[in-house]
Amino acid sequence: MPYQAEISRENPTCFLFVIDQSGSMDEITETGRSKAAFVADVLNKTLYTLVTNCSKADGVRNYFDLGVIAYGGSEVISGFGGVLSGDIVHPIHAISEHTLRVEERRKKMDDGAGGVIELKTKFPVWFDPKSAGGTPMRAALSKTIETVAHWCESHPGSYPPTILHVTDGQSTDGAPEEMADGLRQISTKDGQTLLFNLHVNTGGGLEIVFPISETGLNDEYSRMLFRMSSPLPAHLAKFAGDKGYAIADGSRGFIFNGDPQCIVDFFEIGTRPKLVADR
Amino acid sequence: MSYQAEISRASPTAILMVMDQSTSMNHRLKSGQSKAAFLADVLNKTLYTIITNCSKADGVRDYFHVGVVAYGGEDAGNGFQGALGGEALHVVSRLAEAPLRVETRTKKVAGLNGDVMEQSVRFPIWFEPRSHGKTSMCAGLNAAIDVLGEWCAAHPSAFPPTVLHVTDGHPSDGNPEPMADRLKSLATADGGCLLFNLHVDVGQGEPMIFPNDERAIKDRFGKTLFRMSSLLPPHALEAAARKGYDIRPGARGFVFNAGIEAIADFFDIGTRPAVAADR
Repeated sequence: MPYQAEISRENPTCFLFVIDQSGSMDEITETGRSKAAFVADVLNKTLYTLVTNCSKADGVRNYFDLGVIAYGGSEVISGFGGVLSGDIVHPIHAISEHTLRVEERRKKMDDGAGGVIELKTKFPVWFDPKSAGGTPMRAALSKTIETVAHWCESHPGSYPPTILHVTDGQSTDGAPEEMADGLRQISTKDGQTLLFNLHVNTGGGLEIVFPISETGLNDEYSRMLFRMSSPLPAHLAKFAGDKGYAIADGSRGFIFNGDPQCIVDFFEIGTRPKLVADR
Repeated sequence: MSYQAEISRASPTAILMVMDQSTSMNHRLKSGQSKAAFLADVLNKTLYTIITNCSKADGVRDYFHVGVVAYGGEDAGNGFQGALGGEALHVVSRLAEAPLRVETRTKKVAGLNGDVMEQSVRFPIWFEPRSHGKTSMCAGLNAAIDVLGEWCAAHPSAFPPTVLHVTDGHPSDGNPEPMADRLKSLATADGGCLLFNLHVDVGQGEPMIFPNDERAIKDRFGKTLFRMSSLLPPHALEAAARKGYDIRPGARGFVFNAGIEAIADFFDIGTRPAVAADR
């Protein structure tokens, strides 16, 4: 049975975020902010959550190797800045030490007695939003393959890498499907690389969440993204079901036309580690 | 000029909350609480605030008659239980005497340097959260018409009643607009009954607060709720402006897509005693 490997400091797993930064990501969502800014917030929050989950009394434990691949225009680069920008993948301990900056955000919270309290919270930022140029998805997935192949070679017994790919449009440098196929075939002893695809919405259109087949997907583009996506392993399918999504056997890690709530859930479900052994 | 009548013990006004208790109210807000639970908290706090505002050295002055209509499933009923469950409206001093129970809540308060402190507070409960069945909105509004028709007849010169209607969904028992029109046509010599509508959502979308233009609302049911809502009278305009809302001429007592902050403000602004004359 694949996707059973214990995640530990000896055998960490890898999360790679592949983020579309093409020009259309500047469109404003119903949150009042651009898709690029909203996705960046969710990604930063996800990284912070993963850091928090690895923080024990003795420090941040390296259960995860994390990387961000950003693509837009003619570029495919690390989404990290500063000292992290040299490599794509870094152990979470290094991530925790090298934020771009820590912002102070205001957050409204239920005060527990029928009121609302405004709190100042620290919001670490690793990744800044950008939106310019075309959508070189093929080049981005090619870079992902290179990164993942290298990682799997040095971690043959680990839980395989999980790729969360976020895009809002069609590839402008050729069909990405064969790249996705190649990516999913890279494996460890515990199974194939997981590729989950999130297509973010620009307005209107019903979202399609974790579908089990191409039926109901109206155009060739969405059907291709479906084919590019891995089925959800059992523990993630269960977690998505607990969140209220309709999940069936064979549900793919794929959301089409995702609204802001879907974006949040996609990141949360996609980065849910199966188990962390040496807590 | 309407909405100028003095509110006094001799000439009280009425405040009626109409609460949607359909199944979808069990969806969780970003804060983790269900919509039903948070709304019940805000409602209970609002009742407590009304009592506090009416409390003078000589006791609780009956400036208000207060009631709650709850709907869900097939019908609508009294939102109060126990000693208050018989009548639809109660004077404030009666309300003060008969909460269902008094809970001790841990309330979060902001400390000096932005950290959170916890405080034990007494929290009286009159209204319990529930979420069951369909959205019988027409039944809920009809119940309000019955209660307030009678009240207006008995108080022909009083400040007219205020209805705060809270819902998260589409009515399952027909078009509520004619009921809203009837409700608003109930009147005293000081003006028509005020109907304010609060639409609650769990999503990430920005709330639309006191809009003045139906065209700004995309959702069809949102448009209906807009038309159902009274223009904000002067005292509510003032309270809304004091809270920092950008109020335009023609603003309605309507909030669409409210999160926790907008919910709390809606209750606060909607129940602001106009002028408690004989303070």
